Amino acid sequence: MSLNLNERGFSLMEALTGATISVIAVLGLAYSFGVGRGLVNRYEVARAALGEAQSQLEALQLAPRSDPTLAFGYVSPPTPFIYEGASLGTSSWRVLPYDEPSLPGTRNLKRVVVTVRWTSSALSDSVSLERLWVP
Amino acid sequence: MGAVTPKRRSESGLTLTEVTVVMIIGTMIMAGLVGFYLASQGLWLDASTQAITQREASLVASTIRDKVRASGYAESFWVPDSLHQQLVLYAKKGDPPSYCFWWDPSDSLIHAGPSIGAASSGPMVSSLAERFQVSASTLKPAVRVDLRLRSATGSTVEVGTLAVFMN
Repeated sequence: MSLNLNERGFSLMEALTGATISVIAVLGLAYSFGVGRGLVNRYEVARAALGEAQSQLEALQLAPRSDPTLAFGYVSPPTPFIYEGASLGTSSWRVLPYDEPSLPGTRNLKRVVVTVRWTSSALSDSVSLERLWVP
Repeated sequence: MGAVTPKRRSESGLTLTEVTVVMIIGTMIMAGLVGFYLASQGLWLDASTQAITQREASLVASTIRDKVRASGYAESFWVPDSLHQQLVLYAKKGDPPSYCFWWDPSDSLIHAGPSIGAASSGPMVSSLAERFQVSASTLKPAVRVDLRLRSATGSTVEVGTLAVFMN
């Protein structure tokens, strides 16, 4: 008695191929979970860096407008960016001229740019926040 | 009466050894799949709850920053311990309080409202606050806030912010 083709089951090669594809799919899924977890950790530091930049901009508002640290072209020395007790990078700001066309002159506003740079898990990253001020 | 012919190989079923081997292999595969599923679910749960806590920490910081900017004076009190404080904001010094932020020991959450314990006040976020420290100096027209939230799976998120009075 001969068997039809669809009654013969799987061959070893078919089973191995199916198993290989399944393993690759499962590994891909596991990798995506790991990458997602890594991104959450990465953006945890990025959020803290954004908070640091916002705080720095707020603190600069306390300085008088004539303060030399707010003069055009000033670049501040880097200060440590600390998160959860560890120094992850540096924070600094610079003051650039900004030309607002609706105002007279060419250097009519100050563009204060705060940049926080950090390294986490061998990955360098940075966030910049800027605000325009009337001189 | 015809003679009984021996069964062919395909009709003889499975031996006990074959069934045992198949069951062992199936159990190992199922254990691997269940382990992978549980590990993935734990990883996903941990990541998502921490992301939620990060967003909540940012929300608390930005809300306090906005309220401080709309104020002109602030006071802070150590209540109930050195890790937690109350922040009371005023439009001007001598005015009645305009807005308050505090940590409630009964639920370990940060609350906000027009006055401490007011009926309209409630928790700002659902993450537990391990630390809620406020520095409102009379010398500097600004408020410094440092908080540490704990996610549902136990990981912590720290946020610090400084806000300047603009009223």
